[in-house]
This record gives sequence, C-alpha cells and structure tokens, in this order.
Amino acid sequence: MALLGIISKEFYHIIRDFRTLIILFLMPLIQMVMFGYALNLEIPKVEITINDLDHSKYSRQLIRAFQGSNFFEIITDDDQNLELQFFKRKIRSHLTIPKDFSKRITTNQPTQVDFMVDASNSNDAILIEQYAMQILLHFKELIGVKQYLPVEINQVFRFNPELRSTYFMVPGLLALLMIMITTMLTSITLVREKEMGTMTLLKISPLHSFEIIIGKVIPYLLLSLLVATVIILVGVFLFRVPVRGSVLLLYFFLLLYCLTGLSFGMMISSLAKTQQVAMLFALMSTILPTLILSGFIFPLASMPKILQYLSYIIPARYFLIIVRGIMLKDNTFIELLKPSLALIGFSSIFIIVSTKRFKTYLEQ
Amino acid sequence: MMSNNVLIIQNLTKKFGDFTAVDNISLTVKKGEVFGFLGANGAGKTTTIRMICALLEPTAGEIELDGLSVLHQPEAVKRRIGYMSQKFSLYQDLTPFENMEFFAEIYNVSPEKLTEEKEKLAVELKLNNLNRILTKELPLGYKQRLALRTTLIHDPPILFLDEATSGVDPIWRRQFWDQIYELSAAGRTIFVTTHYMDEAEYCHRLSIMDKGKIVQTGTPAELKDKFNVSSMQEVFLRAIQY
Repeated sequence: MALLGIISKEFYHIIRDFRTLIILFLMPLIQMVMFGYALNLEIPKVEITINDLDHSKYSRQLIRAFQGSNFFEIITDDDQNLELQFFKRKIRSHLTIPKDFSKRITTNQPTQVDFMVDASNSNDAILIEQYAMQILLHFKELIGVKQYLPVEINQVFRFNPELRSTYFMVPGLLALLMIMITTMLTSITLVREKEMGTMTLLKISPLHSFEIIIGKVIPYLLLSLLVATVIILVGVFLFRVPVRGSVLLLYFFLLLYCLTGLSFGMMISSLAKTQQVAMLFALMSTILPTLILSGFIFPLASMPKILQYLSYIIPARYFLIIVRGIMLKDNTFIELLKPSLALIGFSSIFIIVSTKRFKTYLEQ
Repeated sequence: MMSNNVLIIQNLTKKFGDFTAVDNISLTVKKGEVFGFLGANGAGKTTTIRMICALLEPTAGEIELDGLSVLHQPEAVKRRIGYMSQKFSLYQDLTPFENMEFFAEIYNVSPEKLTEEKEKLAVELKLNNLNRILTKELPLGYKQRLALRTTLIHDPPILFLDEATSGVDPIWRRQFWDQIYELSAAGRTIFVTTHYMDEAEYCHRLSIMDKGKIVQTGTPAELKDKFNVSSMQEVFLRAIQY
C-alpha cells in the first residue's frame, strides 16, 4: 500500500538520524528537571525575626507555632536595626508581639500583632502573608479563643490540597514541550525533500498529496507519544504528580494534541523555503506564545482583552485544560469535549492548508 | 491492441499569464523509440515534460500517453511513467533495497517482482550488502544504476530521462546508453532531454524546441542532411537560428 510505503520510509529517516533521536529524548528530560526545579513557585524557608515584647506563655506559644512551621526560619539576631536587616536581605519578614498581647487574650479583647514583609517581590510577599495568616488562625484554635469574625472562611484546596507547584508545572511542561517538539519534528520534513531533490520523485508518483502528508505525520505521531510518555513518567515518579483520570483518555487527547503540533509543523514545512527557516519559525511560533498565552504561567483572565482573544489560537491553551482536568481532576470525556473540538479544528485546518499548499507546490 | 504511438501530443499550449511557454506543439513518439528533446534553457522543454507527466494542466491541447488521456486519467498516466533526472533523486539515508521497497510500495509492485529486481541489481553491481549500506555510500555510477532500476521497478512503458547523464563520467555515460538501447530494443519508449549534442546523435529521432515552438523534427541523419552540416551541434544552432 502506498501509504505504508511513505510511513516506512519516514520511519527509516527517523532511525537513521540517531543524533536527533537522542536529542529528542534527552531534551525533554533535561528541560523537565530544569523547569521542574527552577520554576518552582514555592518559596524556601523565609527568614523572620520576632520581637516579643510580651514575654508571656501565649507569646512563646505563638513563637513556637512559627518555629514549628516548615515555612519560617526564626533568626535570632542581636542587631535590632530592622531596616538594615531588610535592606541586607538577612530577613524577609518580621513579627512584633505587643506588650499587652496575653492580657488582651485572657480578657477576651481583640488583639493585634505587627507583621512586616519584604514586598520587593510581590508574589513572594503575598504567599508569605498567607502562610503567616494560617499560622495565626491555627494559633487561635490552639489557645481556644472565641472567634471575633462573624464569617469564618474554611479554606479547602481541591485537587491540590498542599498547593504543590509541581502539580501545575508538570502538566504545563507537557503542553509546552510537546507542542515545541511535534512542530519541530515535521517542520523540516517537506523542505528537506525539496532541498535533497527527492520532491520530484514524490511529484511524479501517483501518490495523492493527502497520502503524502498523512504518511509523513503517522510515524512522527508514534514517536511523539513515546516522548510524551517519558515526560509523564518523569512527572509521576520524579515530581510525584498523580494521574487521577483515565490514562487511556490522557493518551487519546495527547494524540489529538500531537496531531495538532505535527500538522502545524507540516504547514510550516509546506510554506518555508529552507530547513533553517522552517526550524526557526517552528521554535519561535511555539515556545514563547505557549509560555505566555496558554495560561501555563500567567493567568489569562488578568491579561488585556486583546491578548485574551489572541490566546484562543494557542493550542496549548486547550490542552492545558484537558491535561489538568485528567491528571488532577479525573475529568471524563464529555467534560473535555469543548477543548478537544478546538484541537480537532486546529489539526484539520493545518492539514487542509498543507495539502492544498503541497498541491500547488507540485504544480510549480 | 493499441496503436504504435505511445505518446501523442496535439496542439499543446501552455500560457502563464501573458507569457506563452509552450505554443501549439504537436508530436508523436513511437513504441520502442529513443526520442530526443532538445532546446536551450527556457525553450519550453521542462514545461512540456511537466504537462506530459500530469504535473501541470495545459491551457489547450491534448496529450495521450499509452492510450490514456493525461488530462482525464492523470493517476493512471503517472503509473505508466518512469522518470529519472539529473538531480539524483533517491533517499540517501535509506539502503538501496529500502529505496526499491519504497518505490515498490507506492507503485503497487508485487513482492515477487520486487525480490526479482533486487536480485538483478545485486548481480549487476556485484554487491551483496545492498540491504545494509546506505545509498549515499555508493559511488555515483552505482547510484545511477540503482536509480535506473528503481525508476523501472513498476515496468513503465515510457521512460523520461531529464538530463539524466549530466555530471557523469564518459565511461558511465557510454554504458548508460548501452542500457538505453537494450530497453528500447525490449520495446520500451525512451524520452530524453539532454545538453550533450553527442547524446543527441544517439537518439532515433528528435525534436528541437525554441521559444515554445517545435522548430525541427526528424532523425539525426535527416536533420544533418537538411542543413547540410556534419554534426548535431551545428544542426541545433541552425535550427534555433542562433
């Protein structure tokens, strides 16, 4: 069968290019480890100084609560110049317990502690403040004070109770790496035939342009699923991210997503003049847009409207919903129908354009 | 069963906008003939060949190849064509046998025929590692032989050689032409374009194209007589009124 001919030929191209094959599997591994550890949004221990003006049982209990948390590291420093310590980055937070702290507690009056945070990195500051609040809430329960708040918020973090950033990193990396790899894989495949002069051979043959395009995509589809498996395995075993939903469903959507990337690469290849141009375009059109506009790192909802609209043409945007849905939420197929339709739409458009473009190419 | 003419071109014209690349040409090529197609660059040779191979739609005119209309049955026509060009178009990172397998797959050649062709090539090249070495490791002459065998794997009644011998040494060219005559003797039609005027002498019959028109057609002897010259080089220059 003609299609089989194209598939096995492309397969030979793949295994003969051993160097590319090694890079293909090593690159995502290295990037996973790098991103996974470097892009960690959790903050390591936050240095804190505590000024206890009360020296009571309660104040010591509060200090112990800070001590016992994994989040703060109490610095005991005789240097009382707070400004200077913040300035020199010796500490990132400071707590002052007022003189009448225990007195007000025992007499059931509301009391305040002063909490100071270095907000030169605002993301960190918000996180530090939230942790301190949690400790204070916990402290209140511990000493059995009556609640003064009319409404108490009982926070529950669904799907990621410990708010581990790897839970959000690994699906994001899967989306980013896979779109980049798949697009690059096919982006050179047609241009290469043109540069090598083998395009004539395909032109003269009775093959349909659709057969050529599909025959070229299929072997790379299998290869990409293998690479994706490596990424998922690293995510599950190294970063301990669960796959709560159906693995089969995950692979079905991975297949759709890889198809989108591969057909996009194919389209680039049908338009580009040289392999270098194709490769460069594949890289530029995937990494940055995906990183910024997919909702991987920056929340889309807080972006200007125009960027939000632009994000609709980023395939990773849809795949992120899917992959987070399956890995963390155990979503079913029906719940993920909408984003999957988007991916099917993308693939169809890309394949139609490449086929059309390839046809005119044949007539040149 | 069919007429003796394998290729019939009638009033073929191709226009690109205002430019007429091929201007109302007609010609017939007989079965088993080695037919030469000469012309300077830009004379319309390539455009004509592309139309014959169903890669380009004519603006006007008819082409019949092996009894089939190129315009209406392009796919069937493509299965009856072998094409070998100057640019050696086989996959360099595949083994010679894998290249043959690829062609066999896309032209629906039976496994028996494929095995037979592989054996023939192995005997011809006196090599027994054609399933292990890569095509790029073969010397140029060997590659050309492989290309010819591969091009003929689906047994096409007509073979197009588009400047296939450019850049090859004289000894191999001589051997190549021996093979061409063998194929022609076995009833295969060969359609040759070439820059080498000595190769034009080898053709049974030829046409000279200039500015989109066929200006001369005949056997090399007839054409030399007509212009009263001794070489095809001179015939060519006279014909295009250089």
